[in-house]
Amino acid sequence: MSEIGIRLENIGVFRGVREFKLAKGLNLIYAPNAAGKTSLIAGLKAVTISALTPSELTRVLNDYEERGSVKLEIDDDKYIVNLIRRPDGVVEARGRRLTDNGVIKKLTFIDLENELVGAVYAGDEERLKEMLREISGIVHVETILTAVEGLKAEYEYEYEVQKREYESRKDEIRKQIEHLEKRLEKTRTRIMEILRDPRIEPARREVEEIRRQLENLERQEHNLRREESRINNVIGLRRRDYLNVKAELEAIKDRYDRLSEEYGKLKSKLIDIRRKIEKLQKEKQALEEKKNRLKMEQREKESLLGRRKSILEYAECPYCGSPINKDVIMKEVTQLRETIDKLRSEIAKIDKEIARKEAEINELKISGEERLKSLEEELTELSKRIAMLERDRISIERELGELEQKLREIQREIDKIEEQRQVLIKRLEIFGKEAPLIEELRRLQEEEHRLSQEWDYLHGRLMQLDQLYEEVLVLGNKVETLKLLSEYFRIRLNELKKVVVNRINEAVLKHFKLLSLAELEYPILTEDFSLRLVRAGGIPTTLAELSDAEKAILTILVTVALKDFVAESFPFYVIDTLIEFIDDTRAKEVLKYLMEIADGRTVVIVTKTRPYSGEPRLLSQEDILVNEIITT
Amino acid sequence: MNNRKRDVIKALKERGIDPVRLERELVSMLRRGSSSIEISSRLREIVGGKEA
Repeated sequence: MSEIGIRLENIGVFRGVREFKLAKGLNLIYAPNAAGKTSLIAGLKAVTISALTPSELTRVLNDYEERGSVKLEIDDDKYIVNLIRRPDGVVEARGRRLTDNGVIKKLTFIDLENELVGAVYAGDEERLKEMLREISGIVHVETILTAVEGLKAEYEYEYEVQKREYESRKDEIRKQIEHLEKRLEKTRTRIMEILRDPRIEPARREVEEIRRQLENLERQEHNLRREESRINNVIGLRRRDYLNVKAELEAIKDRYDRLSEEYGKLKSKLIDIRRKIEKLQKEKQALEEKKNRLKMEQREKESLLGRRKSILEYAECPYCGSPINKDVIMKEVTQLRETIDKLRSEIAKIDKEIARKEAEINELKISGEERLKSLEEELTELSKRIAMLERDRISIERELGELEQKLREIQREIDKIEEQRQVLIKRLEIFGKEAPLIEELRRLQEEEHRLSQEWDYLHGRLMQLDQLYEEVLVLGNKVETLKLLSEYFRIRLNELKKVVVNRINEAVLKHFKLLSLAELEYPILTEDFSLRLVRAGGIPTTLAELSDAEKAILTILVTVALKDFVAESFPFYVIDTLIEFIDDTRAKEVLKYLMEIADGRTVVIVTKTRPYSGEPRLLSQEDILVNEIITT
Repeated sequence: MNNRKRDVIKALKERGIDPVRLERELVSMLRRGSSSIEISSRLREIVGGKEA
């Protein structure tokens, strides 16, 4: 059986150091009121859970002490928490704890401070319902689901708006293209008619050759303009990336400069800070030495006081046999008490001074070495990010340069084509002076060229829109992901509700019967976590109407069932005081059940003011009965 | 685990999101006192492609 050690210093009613040994399985602690049971539990709570409220922490530390500590040794692991009372009276806890999950506290420390116990004993069914929903995590999954749904609605709306805008713009461009294509067709039909007309016979061969060359040039120019549109789109997107990278780079460089300045200043101050810390540590050490001397003196005086008080009842001194002068002794007792009080107050002042020095040392450490380290880490991260962004910026700049160069080349080629086209048009003009039909042909050629340019421009805009549509698709993808997430959390919510409610119902039903308590009809908890308490025979009852023993057993069964579900690996389960509400016969049954669920894996602790027979004693290791229930 | 849940988990994983891990992360954020706005903002990051 693995042993668990707990060392308490100035915790609860204990002043000085107390050590206890616990074990996995059932640990039954018995001692009278104010003997230290709850103090031991408070110490355990402080060293296992970091989510304690300030008032809980204040209750952990002994009222007369400024500092205390709890050390826990379990499974080859050590956890130490130091408690320090600040000058303003607030108790601070520092150190390594088992968990920072506040829910675990509600499920594993079943005492009169526990909110769930409070709700059961107040008969507050609504509060209990809310607590069960919170502890089981249902309320959290509901919050997540609401957040997912909200985000889904937001993205869906944005997606619909962008998609509609894209489609309406696309429709408009398509209509313009359609209109243009009709005009182009008409122009080309007329050109063909003119070319077939016998009136152009004298110049037919020449005119046909010009037309063929013009068509060829048009095709080349059309291809170049398409490429020009594509490159322009890419340039637009890359320029946007470039501006984003540049803005992020500037922001990061600015932060880097500010942190570098702080780092430089801090580094130059570091020697001073180290000196100050060293000085404060020496002062603190001197204070601690002085405090130890005073404590020793206090103990001597207290022992002297004890001896003086003990001989007051005697006629003659039990040590030397001389007659007792009670007046002298009383005077000595008074003087000793005054001295002890003075010593106590001086020790308290020194404690406060030590705490102040410690706080100052910590403050200096945080603002010195620790800040410097965090600055170094952040600066390294920032310089890595800057280097990466610089690489991106250079690569985008290079890419943009190449694209712009290509664009210029295309433009030059288009200009060349235009020159060649103008030459051909001029040749048509010469023919046009002789035949009006050829003049019309020339005009139609010009019109065809203009319409074709416009057609290319509209196709360019369509391409641009298609690239914008990628953003709409990204949004659509996000909506799909959120739909899946919403479905997942909906399934989880139903699953969780069923599992938790069933588990609680089964545990309560099974053990209420085993414990020979008044039977309740199944189920006692509905799927929305509302209580449904109906006694066998169909008589409805309420939480408030249950007996104290039934409430205690219900609390134990519900928390055990939930602990298994939420905090299975947490090694402690503690019932402080609550067992007193149950009569001895049933309490023994509850303890047997707890021993069973501990299964040698969990440390189950139960406190009682007296054993089942015999007298209660002051709390010591002998009062902790490990893995025992019945004592004689 | 029902079939639909398995399919949903698979589809989310294909999109780079592990819903089981995400649930644990978000519940633990809420247990530590995070608000629903913080949950929405984390979800926004995850849906936008940051690691889940």
